[in-house]
Amino acid sequence: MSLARTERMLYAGCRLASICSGLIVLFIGFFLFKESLPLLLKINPMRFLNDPGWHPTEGQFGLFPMFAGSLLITVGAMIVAAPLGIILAVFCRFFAPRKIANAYQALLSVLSGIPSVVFGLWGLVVLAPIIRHVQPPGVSLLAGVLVLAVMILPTIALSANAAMTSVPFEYLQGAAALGFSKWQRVWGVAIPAARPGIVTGMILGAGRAIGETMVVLMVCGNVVQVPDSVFDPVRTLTANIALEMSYALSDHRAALFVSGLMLLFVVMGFVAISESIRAKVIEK
Amino acid sequence: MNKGKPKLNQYSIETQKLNLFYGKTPVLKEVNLQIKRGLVTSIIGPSGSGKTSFLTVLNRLTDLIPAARVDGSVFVNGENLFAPDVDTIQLRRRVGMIFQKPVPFPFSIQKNMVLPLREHGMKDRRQQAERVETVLRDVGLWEEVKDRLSHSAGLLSGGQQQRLCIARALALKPEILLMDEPCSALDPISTAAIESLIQSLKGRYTIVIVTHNLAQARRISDETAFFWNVEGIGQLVESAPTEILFEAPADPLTKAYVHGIRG
Repeated sequence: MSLARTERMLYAGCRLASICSGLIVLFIGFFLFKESLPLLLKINPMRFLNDPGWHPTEGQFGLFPMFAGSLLITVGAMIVAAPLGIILAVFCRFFAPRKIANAYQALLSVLSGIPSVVFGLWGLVVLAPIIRHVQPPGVSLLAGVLVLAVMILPTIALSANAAMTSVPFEYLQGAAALGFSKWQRVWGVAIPAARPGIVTGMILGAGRAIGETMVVLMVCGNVVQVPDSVFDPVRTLTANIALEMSYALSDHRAALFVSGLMLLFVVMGFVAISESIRAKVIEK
Repeated sequence: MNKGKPKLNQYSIETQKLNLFYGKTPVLKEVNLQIKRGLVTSIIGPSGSGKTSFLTVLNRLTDLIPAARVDGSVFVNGENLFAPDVDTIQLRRRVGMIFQKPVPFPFSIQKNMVLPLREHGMKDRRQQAERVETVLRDVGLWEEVKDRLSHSAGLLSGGQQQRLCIARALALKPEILLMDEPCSALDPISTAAIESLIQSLKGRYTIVIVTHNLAQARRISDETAFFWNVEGIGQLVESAPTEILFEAPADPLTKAYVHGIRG
């Protein structure tokens, strides 16, 4: 009797917690939508992508450069960080002596705990001047990509490592018994078997990159433009909100909420992509 | 056989004073066993008598365990297994192994079969397809899976998975097949299927099978080796033709074990 009661309470508690966390997401979405609604009703929503410029006080709401900036920085950071992170994880899991692997993991955990403003500072005073030597102005898409890559590297490496650690020893032993070389055991069996976990880590990293505000404010230059090269300054959706929120009124303010809404959609897109990749893995 | 190879005798595998340690703990002590070519040899004995460990020495899977150390000698087809120039990749192609729990990789049936072939240099797709079909027919799985080769191997039943693993090992044309309790996780019908498969492979392959099932050892094997755990260390008590080991064992311990009195 009392067992059933504990179980019921546990069940109710779990249900309450999951309802709460689900509701929070819904409320945020609802709030963003509500605040941007006046403007969405006033103008054609396509204008947020098509307007030639971002002059919100003069009725021009072109968010496309910011949208492109966010996407380019995230994709760029992924292109740099994902292979590095996976290689790092493979090294730790399969090739490094135990002590070195543990030290590496501790280092990565520390790296993932460093506040983004510190990364931003480093990017601003160390990396940007180096890039300026190659091609001014230094604060640029490239600077953002590189700093963000360093920032999300631990997320990707640690989840890839966890995914590979959970690959059953039987798979590796079975592969060895079939005469697989060590490299082929890793590349042919362990990495494919760990793919769902690796993909999850990459999506977490991408989510962190696209949501990052402080770093991009500090190192990307914040010029509203679709960049012609990696050396051009860009502004992201997050930076756009942070820069203008304090003085934005009425339509301008609503347009910033549209920026937030756009971010939400991009993140939803990432999740959808990762889910479809994982579903494919399971289907196989 | 190539001319350079040592001359083959009737033994596929021969161990001499084989000792195995995990760290400082001895696991096997002075095992001297000769396994005849083309026959089925079963290894019986209670848990902890080192049967599985013995099997993993024979294709050097012990290499995967950092603390494992072997001394004494093992000859596979007359070649010293622990000579410094032994290519373990080639060795394991020639000495296949089937595990207690079927371990298909989490890929499609097709990929499970083809991956090892590619790894061993067979790149031609037509050749691969032929070999895959041949061995899947050998294990009686072809009719069951031919229309769903692209499905996940994890969706097969336990018995089918085990036969897939056997097919996967056979595809590499091994000379010796080591089987570690291949039926212990299977239902009686799948067990019967695997047993008749083993019968049909006799003669073409040398088979060493570890089993807890004495009746199974009697049914399928020509020779039987009996291992016993002496103060935590596995030792070979005796080996003989199966009939003799069960009917007229030389050692009283064997007699007690096969009659179910001890162990």
